[in-house]
Amino acid sequence: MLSPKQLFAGAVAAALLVLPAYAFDFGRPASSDEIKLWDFDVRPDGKGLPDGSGMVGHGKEVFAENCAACHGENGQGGINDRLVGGQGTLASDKPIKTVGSFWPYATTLFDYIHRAMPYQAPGLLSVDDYYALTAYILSLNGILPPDGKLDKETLPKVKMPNRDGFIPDPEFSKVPVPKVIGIGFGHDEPSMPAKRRWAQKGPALFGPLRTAGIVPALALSLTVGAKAMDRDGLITIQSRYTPKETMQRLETAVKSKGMTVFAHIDHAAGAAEVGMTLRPTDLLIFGSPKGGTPLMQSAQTIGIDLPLKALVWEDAEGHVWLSYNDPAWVVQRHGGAAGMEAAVQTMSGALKAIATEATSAAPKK
Amino acid sequence: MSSKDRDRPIDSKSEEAPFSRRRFLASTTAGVASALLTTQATADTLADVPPREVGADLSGHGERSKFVHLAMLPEAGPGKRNVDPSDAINSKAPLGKLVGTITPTDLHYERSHSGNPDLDPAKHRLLVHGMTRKQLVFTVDDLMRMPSITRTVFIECTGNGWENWKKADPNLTVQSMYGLVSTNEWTGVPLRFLIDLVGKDRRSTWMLAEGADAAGVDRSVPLTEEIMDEAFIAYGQNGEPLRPAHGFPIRLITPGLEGNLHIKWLRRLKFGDQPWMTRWETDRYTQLLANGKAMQFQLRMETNSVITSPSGMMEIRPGYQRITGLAWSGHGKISKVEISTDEGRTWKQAHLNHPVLPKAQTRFQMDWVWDGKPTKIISRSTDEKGNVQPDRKSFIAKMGTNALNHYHAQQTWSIDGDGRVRNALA
Repeated sequence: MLSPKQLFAGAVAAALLVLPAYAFDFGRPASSDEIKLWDFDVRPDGKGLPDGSGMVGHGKEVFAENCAACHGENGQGGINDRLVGGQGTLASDKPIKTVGSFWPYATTLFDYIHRAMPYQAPGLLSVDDYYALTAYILSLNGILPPDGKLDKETLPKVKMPNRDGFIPDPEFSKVPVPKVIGIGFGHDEPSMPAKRRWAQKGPALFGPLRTAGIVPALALSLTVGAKAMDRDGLITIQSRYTPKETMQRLETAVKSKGMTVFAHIDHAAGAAEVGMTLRPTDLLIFGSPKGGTPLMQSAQTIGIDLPLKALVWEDAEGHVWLSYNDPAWVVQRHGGAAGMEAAVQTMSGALKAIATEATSAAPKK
Repeated sequence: MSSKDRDRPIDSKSEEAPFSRRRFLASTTAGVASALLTTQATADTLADVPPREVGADLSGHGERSKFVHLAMLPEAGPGKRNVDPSDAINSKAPLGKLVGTITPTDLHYERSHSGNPDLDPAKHRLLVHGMTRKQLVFTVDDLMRMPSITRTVFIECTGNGWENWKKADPNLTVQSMYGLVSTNEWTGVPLRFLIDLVGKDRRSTWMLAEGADAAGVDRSVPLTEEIMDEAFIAYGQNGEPLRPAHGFPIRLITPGLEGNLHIKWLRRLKFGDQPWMTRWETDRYTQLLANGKAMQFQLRMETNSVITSPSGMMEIRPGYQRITGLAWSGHGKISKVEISTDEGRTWKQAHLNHPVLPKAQTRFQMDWVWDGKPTKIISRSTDEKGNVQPDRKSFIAKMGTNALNHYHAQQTWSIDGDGRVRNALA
């Protein structure tokens, strides 16, 4: 009987072999207008605070009407959370945790009551009312004067008495920024179509689960595959040949299209020269002035991404891949495709034909 | 179950007077009960077993036996037990009556901050935005078409065990004390997949997860490699869509971390580069130490275990016993559970029921012959990372008695000369 590991590897391999070179996207783009409807979280630096303002005096009226029934007339003695007092009690046997004694950030108070209060109808009040309520509760705790006023500029500057009363867990409070993997715009996207990369990563990701006897349902779902244009601009297709054969076929295909091979860079050989090892990673630089010049006439900086490049590489499992920059993506990088559609289409078509020829045409007997 | 050697409660809706198996039988099948009350085990006869007869009609929905009574324990706060569910802020799972490791879906503990909404999945949306290349909106159908994983994990309320911080109320059951932890099988989409779809900026190290409940409960999730590898957006629970109390149609699962982080009714994931310091991660789920400072972002649920039988308010008789319970750790798999039946002087390793899964509850058991003398029984778990469940004294020395959350000291059950099992501090 196959082990879960074998089953998994088998499923992934099978999925990759039968994958078409395109897939579908999930979800739809969110418009900025609709994001605004939900995007009201507030950070300690004040990011996210809305326009508006409120004074302590008005807050007192709003509180009496909407909050006092549960929280007591002056923020204490109610059936629900006490909001006032308790300063100096945190180290005692009966600590009283309130906004005044415990909460480290005033922005949190605004964010919380704005999103969650009044309990029966959260968000019912106006932004000005929420600023006023925040001001009133802070004034009850002696943090704002009776004539205090709050808005998005002043609220983040309020220093809460217990601001320094917290010890963040070292494991979860300092999250390192991940190292850059591959080329990108600083996003978490290595140079491989995301879905394929994810598919390949699947088994590694779930290693601990697999050894526990869990076979992720993922194995059955890996039919999404690569697609024609990916967000990181790389088109990657699998080759049925060895790296060396693929490169030879690539060169032949390039020349047959009337393009020039400018350079062939064997990164693995370079690595070996300095005593390091690298799986086959072979770069071909090629192109033709006829194809590239119109693009540079429209957007001169495209010159930095030309001539064209194609990379033949072998992954850890011995699969051989061919990756090349998507011309449409390159054009987008340099300011859009206006007037360049035809040139892009020609170039894309040529590259696709070359890549197919290099990786998957019937082997010559 | 050997009901002759011991008198285990199997129906104890009332904390004060749990029904014993015997009394329970007496109230339902009088003939058998009277035999039990007047004879020893050896006098049992198959002649008393009711004859076979045709059963009830088959049904479209499986129900429990009329002889089995399982229910959660709704609470309005510490010490406010058995309240009307409309006043409850949490409902505790009946650990003392459960077997195996999976909590039945209808008995999975509940903790909600503004009720349990039942959302229309056709209208529900998940917005993923912030420091991402794409800002995307997903339907529940979108999520269900994505690659999925299925994983069995425990979820534990950060406040589980809160009854025992300052004192041990002797009249508590294991349900009252530890019922805010449950283990279910969850199915959903790996967070990594969504991260790839939207193209998260690598400088984004935190993610805000927000629910569609009235309170809009939201938590900042640190994007450690472990969390990005293991977190998922679940739509399935024990083989069916989520129940409303557990976040239908979708919720976040962050294996091994505070229950509150598993945002239910999930409607928004926002990527950013610092924590938002929401009310839940400042005021509520932080742990006040004896010096007045509070631990914050103590997200991992610690190495824990409890003997579920015999446990609080049960009664045993001298002779053979089967000790059993549950162990769990947010660090990974349970590697061993040890049991002391002599007040902590000596320890024996319990048997672990397989499979032992990472960040899921593990059932343990051990034989014991009780000599009828008063004693205390204790369990102590160790996880695969080498973390050992602390004894109460060293735990309190470290955390004080004001922390309210993250209680995971060893649980002691005292047994008096009459076999009465009661909660004790140590």
